[in-house]
Amino acid sequence: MSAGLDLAYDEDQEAIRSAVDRFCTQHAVEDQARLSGQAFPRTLWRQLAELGVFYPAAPEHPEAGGALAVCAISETLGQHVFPGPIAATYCAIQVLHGDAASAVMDGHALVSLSSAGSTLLPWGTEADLFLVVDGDTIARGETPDAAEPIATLGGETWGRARLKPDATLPASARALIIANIATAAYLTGAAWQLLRATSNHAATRKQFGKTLGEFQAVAHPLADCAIGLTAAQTLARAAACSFDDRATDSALQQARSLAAAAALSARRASLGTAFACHQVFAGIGITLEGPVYHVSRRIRQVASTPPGGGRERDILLNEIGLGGEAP
Amino acid sequence: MNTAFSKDELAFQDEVREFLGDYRELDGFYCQGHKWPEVRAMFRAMAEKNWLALSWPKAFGGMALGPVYEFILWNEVAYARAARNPLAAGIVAQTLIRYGSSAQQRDWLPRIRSGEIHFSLCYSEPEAGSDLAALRLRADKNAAGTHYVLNGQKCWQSYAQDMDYLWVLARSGTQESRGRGISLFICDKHAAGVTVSPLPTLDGDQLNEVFFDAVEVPLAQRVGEENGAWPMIGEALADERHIQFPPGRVRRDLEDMVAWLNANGLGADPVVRQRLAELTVQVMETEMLALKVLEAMVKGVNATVDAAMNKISHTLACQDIARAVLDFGGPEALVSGARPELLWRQTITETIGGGTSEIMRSVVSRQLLGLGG
Ligand SMILES: Cc1cc2nc3c(=O)[nH]c(=O)nc-3n(C[C@H](O)[C@H](O)[C@H](O)COP(=O)(O)OP(=O)(O)OC[C@H]3O[C@@H](n4cnc5c(N)ncnc54)[C@H](O)[C@@H]3O)c2cc1C
Repeated sequence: MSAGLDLAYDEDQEAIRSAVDRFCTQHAVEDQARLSGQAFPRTLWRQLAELGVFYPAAPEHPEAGGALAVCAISETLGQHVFPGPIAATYCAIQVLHGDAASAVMDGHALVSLSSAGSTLLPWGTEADLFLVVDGDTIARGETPDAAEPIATLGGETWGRARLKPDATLPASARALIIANIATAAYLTGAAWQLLRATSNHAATRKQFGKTLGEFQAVAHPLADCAIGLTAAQTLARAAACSFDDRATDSALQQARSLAAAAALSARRASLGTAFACHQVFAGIGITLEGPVYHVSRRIRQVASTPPGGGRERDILLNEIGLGGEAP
Repeated sequence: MNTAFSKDELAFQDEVREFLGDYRELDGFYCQGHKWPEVRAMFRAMAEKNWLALSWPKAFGGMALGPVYEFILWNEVAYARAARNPLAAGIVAQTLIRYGSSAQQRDWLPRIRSGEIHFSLCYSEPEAGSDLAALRLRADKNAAGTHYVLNGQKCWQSYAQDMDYLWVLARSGTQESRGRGISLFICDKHAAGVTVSPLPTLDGDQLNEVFFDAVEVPLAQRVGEENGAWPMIGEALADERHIQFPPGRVRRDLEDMVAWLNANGLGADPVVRQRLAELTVQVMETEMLALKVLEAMVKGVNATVDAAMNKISHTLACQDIARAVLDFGGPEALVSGARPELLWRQTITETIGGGTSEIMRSVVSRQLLGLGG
């Protein structure tokens, strides 16, 4: 084992994490996650961007912290159930240049990243810039004239419109790695926060004269959640670490499979955590105002938001040499 | 061995299906609160056929037909997604038949049988959920000894906003007496001092908190002995086991989700097919466990363990079906108002209401396997 092995964030990454955490607390971001069908909080999004949170993904700003910073920020945004196209924004910054990239980084342009062939566009009524992911490639899409508003499980209004994809953009593969890292980090951040709240509840609420946590039927599933989330979060951080190791192509290849695994692992672990936490909070957990649902529905929403689906699975199966075509 | 229904039972099933033809669009199973006037009207129409009293003894105007008929009725109603079985005709009526005074039987049973009045179950409290014997809502006799006075709070009451009466468990003994100090009351929901306050839930429906502030309940509305409620509610629950979690609901979930996957072009995906095959097996297992409960009811043997197994299998199957469709359906499955996302939300509640999975597993591990837990 390398003497230098270190899975912790460094000081800079911790600093940006604290700044984002403070910002979210000041703006009571988590409370807004309970609302449905609200207009997208553009001002909040711009203010977040003003903290510089989107710069780390920009290839021309290596000083901004790179993928590890993206990972740290996304975890923190997940902890606060921050709304909006976070992974899509990081993804866009990798493939866009010039004014378009600046507008996205500064929070002035909102990105919608959809899957090829789909007419359901995340934040489609609000977005200024449309990207379409098709396998390993990303193309710019023409801004549709009007998108029909579609209410979604996560409480966000998306849009229905047919997009015409333009030419494929360069650096798509790198962008999709970043998107997977951001998604995985966000999901694990959100689920960890929920798991902590649930553990607190289990440590204090009593039934049958004992705290809930004293029942193994309650404690063990929560322990499983912690194991799954730790693994997923470490995968995301490891993927980011490899991504930032720009020295070799093999590091990028490794980042690609680690990020694919992180995304899949985080989806499974965060959804599993959401369900386990609902179960432990029981009655309180199923109320709209309770401590779980605004997080569980957000986890479900992010887990189904493009990019996603079978692509990551194929990356991993190809890596282990299981027949079929290379993706 | 015989796993088939008799000719008469099958004829009844046909009759129920024909009846439900008129209620195909009702959709009152998930968010009954949104459809209560229509559901109530359907119960009235059922009452005209005396279907709310299928298993009641003839002496109380019932049809004395036994559990298979009730199972068929409520299984078909669940499959049709029309409504959940009303508690009044089940738990409430069965308790009154077994433990009610003749005056209570005369006053309440005809109105229940006709579908005129409905009840909400006031058992759980903020500090007494799984541990129901810890409930605190007080019931004390007034000085004149004519009434009980109820003070305290209940929570998570299904449909209390729409029901006419409350079926209330209250503490009449000391707190330490646990299950031995609890009495059962019928309380008019509109009595002075009762406040029903909504708790909106993630399925788009609501549960309720019910507050009792010096609510006077006549002595005549205590059911059974003072401090004698605990065994009665256990038996009443036992009467309902075959209809509480009918497999028709899970079968219908599977069919609806298959239709959605096909409509969205996902039916040919080998990963989807593999998972759906597993879910189909799960649904069939649930159907068998429901038959086990029914068999125990028919034979008049204790169905506690079978019912616990059925509840776990049923509720996990409907969660797994909804969750799989969300996993496969991508963004399209998130669209509000479509079945997948509604089922995803609604099924979260199923492993909690009516006894949590953890408590059900304890029943199986203790009573079937002789273990702790
Ligand atoms: C949809 C729905 C409808 C409902 N309708 C009604 C109604 O009409 N009337 C009514 O009175 N109530 C109703 N309830 C309330 C329901 O009965 C309670 O929610 C349930 O009993 C759990 O209680 P709790 O919510 O307080 O959770 P808690 O008792 O606090 O339990 C929290 C968690 O701890 C676990 N736990 C507790 N004790 C143990 C143990 N000994 N071993 C292992 N695990 C344990 C539980 O399984 C659960 O996962 C309803 C609930 C729901 C969800």
